[in-house]
Amino acid sequence: MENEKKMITLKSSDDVTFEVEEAVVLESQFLSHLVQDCPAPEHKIKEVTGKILSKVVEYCEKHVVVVVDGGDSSSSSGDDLKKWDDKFIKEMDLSTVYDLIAAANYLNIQALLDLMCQRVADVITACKDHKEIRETLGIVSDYTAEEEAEVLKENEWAFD
Amino acid sequence: MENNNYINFFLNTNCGLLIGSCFARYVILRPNGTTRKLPWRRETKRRKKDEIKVSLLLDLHDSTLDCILEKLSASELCAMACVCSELRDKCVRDHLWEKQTKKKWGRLMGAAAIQEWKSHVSAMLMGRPSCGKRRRSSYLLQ
Repeated sequence: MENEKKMITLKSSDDVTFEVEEAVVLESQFLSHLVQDCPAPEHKIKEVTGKILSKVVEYCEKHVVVVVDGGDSSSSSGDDLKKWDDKFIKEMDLSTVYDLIAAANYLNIQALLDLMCQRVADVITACKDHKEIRETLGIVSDYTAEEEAEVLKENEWAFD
Repeated sequence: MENNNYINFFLNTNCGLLIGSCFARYVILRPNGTTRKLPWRRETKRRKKDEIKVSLLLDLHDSTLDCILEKLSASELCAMACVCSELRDKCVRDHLWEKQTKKKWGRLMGAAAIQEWKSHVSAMLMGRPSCGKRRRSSYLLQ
């Protein structure tokens, strides 16, 4: 019954290699096209570094396993997966999140992209005003004092 | 007498230059030989560092930034618009607000009501050039 699992090697921009099952690679639309179009055993991903690719592989491996096992007890494994996702994003700093967003966008992994965008949205939601958002996200305001007063007035209806 | 004046002038200027250059060296070099960054230099360096920080969120692909903005509530979108002008331009886009409107009023508003609302908004925009997206340009002209 057990099928022979096909292994594929992914190489990051800084030449870190990851050996993964084909099913893991298929989580990414970009990689599944790549694998179908050129059936080489090794694929170099120039746009993603080893640090970020390891996270991507970790995420895809977890999700593949759960989806495959999910046939009999889907609700409990769904909860487990959600818990795992929460833990996965909590231990990450924002710059890693941005890099992962870029990687998920490039590799076309919609679920990972959604998860990471939600994480940034949560960070923004936790801020109480625009000044805190600036501090947290490290954005420098390019408004002059008058411009800022005007934009605050324009948006004050939302803060009542 | 005339000659003496020339010599005095020469000595004075040379002395001035010498003192000046000594002072400049003192400002730039520390006694232990390491160079000290002048305040303006430090300022530009700090600004450059900040710019690198900025690039993180704002350098994300437009569609991914939209993906983040779509997950925010109306008041958070407004707070984001107050952060900087680039984010403001992104936060006032119609499709984000269409989503907000649908989320809040979608169950109450039928297709006809939405149509009516759209024509009302466009009439409002035509009548008041300072409204919505045009607000920015009109305010630059002032």
